[in-house]
Amino acid sequence: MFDRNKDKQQDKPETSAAPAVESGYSSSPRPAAGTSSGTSATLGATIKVKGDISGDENLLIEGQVEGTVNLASHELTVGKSGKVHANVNAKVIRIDGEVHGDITGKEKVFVSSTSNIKGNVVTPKMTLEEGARFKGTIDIDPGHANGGSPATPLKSGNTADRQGNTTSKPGNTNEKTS
Amino acid sequence: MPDILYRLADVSPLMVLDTGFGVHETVEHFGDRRCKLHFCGLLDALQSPPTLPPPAQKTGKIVDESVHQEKLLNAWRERFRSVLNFPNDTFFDLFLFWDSFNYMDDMALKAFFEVLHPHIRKKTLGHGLIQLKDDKQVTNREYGIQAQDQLVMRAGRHGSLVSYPRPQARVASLLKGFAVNHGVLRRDGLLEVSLKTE
Repeated sequence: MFDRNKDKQQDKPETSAAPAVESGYSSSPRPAAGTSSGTSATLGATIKVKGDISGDENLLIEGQVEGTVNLASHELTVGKSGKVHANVNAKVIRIDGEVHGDITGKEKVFVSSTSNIKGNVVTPKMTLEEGARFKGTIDIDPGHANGGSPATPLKSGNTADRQGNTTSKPGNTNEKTS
Repeated sequence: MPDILYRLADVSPLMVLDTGFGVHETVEHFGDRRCKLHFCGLLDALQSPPTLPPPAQKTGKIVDESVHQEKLLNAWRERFRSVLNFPNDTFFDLFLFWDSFNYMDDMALKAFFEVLHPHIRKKTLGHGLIQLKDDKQVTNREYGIQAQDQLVMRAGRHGSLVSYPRPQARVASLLKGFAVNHGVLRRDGLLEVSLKTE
């Protein structure tokens, strides 16, 4: 630790706007990873819903939702044009658009660099896309994949505020730390 | 950093406060263990420092500068309480301060650590990067943890913030509840310090 000579800088290759993401995800709006759960529904860009949404199929939201979204056994994608002001709960969640509310992903949550989140995330597996910046709380419990009720996130007065990294990155530097 | 992370290897759930933004690498690094990662984006709160109305001019009243300073300190405390508004029973195991010390003047830094103090445990550890001399090249950066012995560093988005280079002893005197455990001068001139509770 604290080796004076360890802090050699190495240039890290610039990452593109569409960085490597987990298999099963792409940058184009579509239901979250895998479609093994069967059919998918799409809430179109001009659709506005006030109320609670639940169901037994995957859902892609490109429109606006105020209320709650609960797809406990399925996959939810909030597309780039999607605006969800609700607590969301799903097996797998991908967020490319806007979510203001707490997010519970029973298996995993993927947050892309185009998203805008105000809320806390609770999930066993969280992936933040390269280029994304996240402000808020992430509660990770890898041992509770497929867990039951949503965990309680660390509450903070300032809610999460994630902003996608839309500016070009001049380059990352990996640096040995002391 | 390797030593800090090694010492916290068995803590579960690990409570981490990162004063910056969450970046891919840090989330990935901690993603395999039970933890709560809080990213408070502190630098956003420093963009517009609190100000007090100037003392009335030519009123004939004596201006007590210490009162003015105390008011300003209180304004900073309020600012940081809004950023670090955790429940009383929230305690962190690890603080990743990165270079945030350097964007706060003495008063702001003092206020920040006063607000933070109720949330430290006996064995809380911290990591920071102290700017010792004026050098624009070491400012406006964002950091993350690539690996136990490797940080990732990017250009930041807060280039307008003023930095306050200071000697280690002065910084250390303002970090309420913490003492510098170890420090090393990096090649870029920043002093990398590990912190432990006093």
